[in-house]
Amino acid sequence: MELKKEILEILRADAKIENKNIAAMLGATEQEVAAAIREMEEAGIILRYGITVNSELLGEDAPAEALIEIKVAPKLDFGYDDIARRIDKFPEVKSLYLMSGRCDLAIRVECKAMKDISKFVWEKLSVLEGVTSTETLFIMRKYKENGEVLVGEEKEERLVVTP
Amino acid sequence: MNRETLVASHIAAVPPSGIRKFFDIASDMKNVISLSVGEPDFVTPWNVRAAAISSIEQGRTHYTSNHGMPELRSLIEKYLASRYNVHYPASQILVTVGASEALDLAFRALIEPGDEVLIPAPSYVSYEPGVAFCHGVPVAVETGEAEDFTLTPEQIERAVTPRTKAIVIPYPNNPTGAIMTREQLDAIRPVILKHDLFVIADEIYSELTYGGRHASFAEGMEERTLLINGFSKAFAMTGWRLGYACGPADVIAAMVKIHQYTMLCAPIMSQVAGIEALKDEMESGFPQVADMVRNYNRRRTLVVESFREMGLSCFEPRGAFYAFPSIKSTGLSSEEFCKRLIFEKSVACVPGTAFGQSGEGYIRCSYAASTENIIEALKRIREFVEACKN
Repeated sequence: MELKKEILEILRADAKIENKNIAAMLGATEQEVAAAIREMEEAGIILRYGITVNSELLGEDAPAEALIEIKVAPKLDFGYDDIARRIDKFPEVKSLYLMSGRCDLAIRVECKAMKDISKFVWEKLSVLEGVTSTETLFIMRKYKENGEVLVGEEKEERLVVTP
Repeated sequence: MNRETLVASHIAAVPPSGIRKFFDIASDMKNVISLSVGEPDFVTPWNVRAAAISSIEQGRTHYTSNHGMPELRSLIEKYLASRYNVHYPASQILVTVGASEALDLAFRALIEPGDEVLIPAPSYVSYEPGVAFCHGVPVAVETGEAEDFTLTPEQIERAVTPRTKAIVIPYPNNPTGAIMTREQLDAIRPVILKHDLFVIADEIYSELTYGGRHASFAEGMEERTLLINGFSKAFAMTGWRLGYACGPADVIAAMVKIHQYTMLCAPIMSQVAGIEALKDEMESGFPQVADMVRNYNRRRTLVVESFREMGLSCFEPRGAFYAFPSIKSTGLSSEEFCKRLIFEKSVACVPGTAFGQSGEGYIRCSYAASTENIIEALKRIREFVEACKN
């Protein structure tokens, strides 16, 4: 596997890991690792070093989230990309995808409370030119996100010392 | 009743496992980072677990053939042939409750009182007691860092006596992480033939080698070798207790005899899971095993590199998931080192002496742990080593 691919795999699991440890794991020099990461950052392959939060543990501070399926009516001079570029301007929209199946676009939105999401839909989203209908699916509980199990996580079951 | 003589003397004479002591200390402490676990940190692949669940749902809850399920044995036959060029017909394969049972059966089938069995040291903790339980005499063949903890013809020659019946060849090795290459195995073959030794090849870590495929002693030596392997390490299935032994027909028949009277068969759920594990991986070219090996390999180089960087000499382990650094430069004994490390830094490693006296001056560090834990543990070990040297 080439170095960049391996580095990505390691960083996806732990974005905070130090370069010197990545280097030791891959049998590369620290400089090589730093250079590869810089190249990927500059090329826009690595956009951001994120965290995954178990928002259930935040209590009151947990944001409300919803997936919204959107049907649109693209025109010759105003296609999917143009509509998408309008929708992605809203800071509430955290992810935006072109979909196959019963909707055209799907977005994940994050607001302070559920009523803010409702308001976003009827005030901002459904009135956009080209949007013909929306279906809002509120996220009620997260069981797994970004590969991390959030509810009933499998505990370390191994004994601490075994032969 | 005389309580003094109640327990048979040859059982009473065997000391409890040195690992047990560290388990007792470590399990009493909170927030210990453990590099002392001898099993994969991966959970059994989901498809394998699902196969076992569905077999229970279907009511497959009965005994199987003493030998093990025919489908499993024929898969093992194909697996060994295609993966290691080792050829045993399914009729000479016995499915056991873990490789541990296979080992016990082998000793019981082979050893007469007073027979000597050569065992490389340091090695896994069960060989010596297993031989002693059968009134045999375990004879340690010291292997050292100088010969990469492998067996050499000279060492075997020195240890052989007229009573020597068999030799255990346990590579990839726990605790050293040493492997024996094809050339190294070929080099000890003449001395084994010369003294007509029977070989018990414990190759439970055969899938976990780095920078080269595993070479089996049994290849071309099937009639002189009892090959022991299992599902624990390669498929992260330790708790299922599923292993197997392959060997000459007469030896396997003797083992089956003991097994049918004492164990009957390995649990059917585990055997069904084993079928799924082998079938799925064999059909698709072992992708999950390859993934696991790639993952271990990163941690392996990280651990070895870090030990060397903190000034401890560390032999390059090429198999299993253990590093075996020398801690001689700290001036501490293995046991002192590990005890202080756990009390002062809450990091658990196993002293090399748990695997025989020749492990003195070394510690066993398992890298079957998360990268985060490994990095934190190594940081603490570095602090500890630096404090020792000042």
